[in-house]
Amino acid sequence: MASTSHNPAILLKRTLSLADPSGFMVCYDSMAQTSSLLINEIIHNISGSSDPNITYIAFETVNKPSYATNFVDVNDIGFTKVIETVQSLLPLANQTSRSKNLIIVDSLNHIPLSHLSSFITSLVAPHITLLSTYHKDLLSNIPTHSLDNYPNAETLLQFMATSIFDIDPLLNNSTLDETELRYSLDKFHIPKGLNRSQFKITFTNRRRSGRSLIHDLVVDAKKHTYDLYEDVAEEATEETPEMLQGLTTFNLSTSAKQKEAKDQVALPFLEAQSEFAGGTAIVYEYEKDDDYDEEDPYEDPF
Amino acid sequence: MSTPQRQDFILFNDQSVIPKELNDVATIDSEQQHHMFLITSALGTQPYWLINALVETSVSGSPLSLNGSSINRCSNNDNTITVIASFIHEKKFYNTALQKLKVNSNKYQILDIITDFVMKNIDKPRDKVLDMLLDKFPKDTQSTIILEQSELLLALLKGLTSDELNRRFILPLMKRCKLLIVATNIDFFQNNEDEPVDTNNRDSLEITRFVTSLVYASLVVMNLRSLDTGRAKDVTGSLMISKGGQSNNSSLSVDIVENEYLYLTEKESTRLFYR
Repeated sequence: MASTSHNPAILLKRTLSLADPSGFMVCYDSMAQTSSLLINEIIHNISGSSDPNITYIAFETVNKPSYATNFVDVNDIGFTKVIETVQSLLPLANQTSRSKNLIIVDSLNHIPLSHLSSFITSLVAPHITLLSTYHKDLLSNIPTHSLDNYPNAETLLQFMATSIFDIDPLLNNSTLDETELRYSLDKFHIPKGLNRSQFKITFTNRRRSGRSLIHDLVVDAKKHTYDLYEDVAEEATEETPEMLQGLTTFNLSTSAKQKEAKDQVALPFLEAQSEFAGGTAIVYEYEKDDDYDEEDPYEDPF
Repeated sequence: MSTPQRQDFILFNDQSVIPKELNDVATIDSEQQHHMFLITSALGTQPYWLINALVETSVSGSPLSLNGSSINRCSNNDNTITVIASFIHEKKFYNTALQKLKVNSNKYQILDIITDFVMKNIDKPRDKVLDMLLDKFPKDTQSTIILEQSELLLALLKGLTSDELNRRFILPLMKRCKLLIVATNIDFFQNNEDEPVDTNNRDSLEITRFVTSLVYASLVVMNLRSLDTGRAKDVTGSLMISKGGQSNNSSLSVDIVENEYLYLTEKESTRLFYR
């Protein structure tokens, strides 16, 4: 398979530096780990290229980020005028400029579901990359239109996006597990140790053929490194004699001699396998009451 | 039993509550920066002492009543003003409390926004009411605004959605000042302990959405809650300081110190301890 020879970290790096054409990127984030560091990572990666043109469409941000070339505050101009305004700020498609055009949208959650797909399609173009954030934990409004089978925003975006970054905090060295974290966030008891500079992303890269590659990676926003995510929790489960020490008043551990004896016990199913090593056979032995008729095909299959 | 050591209340790693950087000229590329702090609390753990301490910090530089004789006593000589607007308390409440703390009364202003609110606005369109409310706040971009229980507007204005409240009130208010401190009650989420939010119930949906957006918009989240184990004589509750959604986005060079304090409110004063 071609994908196994690919290094996911390099693929991520290429995607973050907008080297591969990817029209529409979505960052799914949550209160526990917001997308701002990943967006900064993209800015860091493209800052070397010939001056990128970055347009920031702000639904919920008040401060203009220092990297933004243009800052469009939706609350100032109204949602209906956004696309018009943004398009006037962008270079035309036939202009052969080499600089990268990036549009950042902070949180698609604020766009009504019925306008979402038209909003995205009117901004995505071959020379433009649309980078947007979607908050996973911001509940969606009660739908106002009566399309029962219309997908929700999260599903819809999953269909449309060419790259998806699902961002989660790294919980390895924290005292919380995932369930506890969700439980306390649901109650707005925000624990310590979230929004760190190291976080986990589930990176989905969709090829032009439609095939998607999914990788779990750890991003370090301080060092700008990307590594494959390894689940440490599962590796640590191997039993060692030390783990059994001091748990009870009984002796639970085994000595070396006992272990050796244990290894020498031949298990019954192993013997059963060795007997018919060359394959299995059914052996029929006639008994004295058996009445075997050669002519009758249904009497006995053997 | 030995009394645990009293701790200083700090939010940032330069030992400050409101960093000097934020206080000074909050500008980057000659553009004004606006920040938000969020306080979440419940009925058993009211945030008044914390609000008072923050007013005190905003006026005089550090929370003297909380930290005792603090070393970094730097007074804010500039003419920045602190505005307090509450949806549940009248002027007198904060006046008395702040006078007791000997906060210079020229430096703060308490807005009356709730007297006869419903009577005055009963037939007016929502947008207009929010605009009127907004106009009560001074247009001073160096000011600090403290807003208490603005989520009540969701119930007070018919048909108001959390998005509308954010778009038409909270975000414009944030743009009017350098620091907006929002105190919100989250009791709502503690009543139905183990049940997920009922997404068909409009009220619970809107309030959840509202608080969630506040968390995303804020730099620091201060959560006041009672102890999980119940009531104690020597502890009123715990104050958890954690990073909000904008913590990685801010232009400030100081970092937030995530911490959990225990606090004890007695008759006149509140003291903090480390957990």
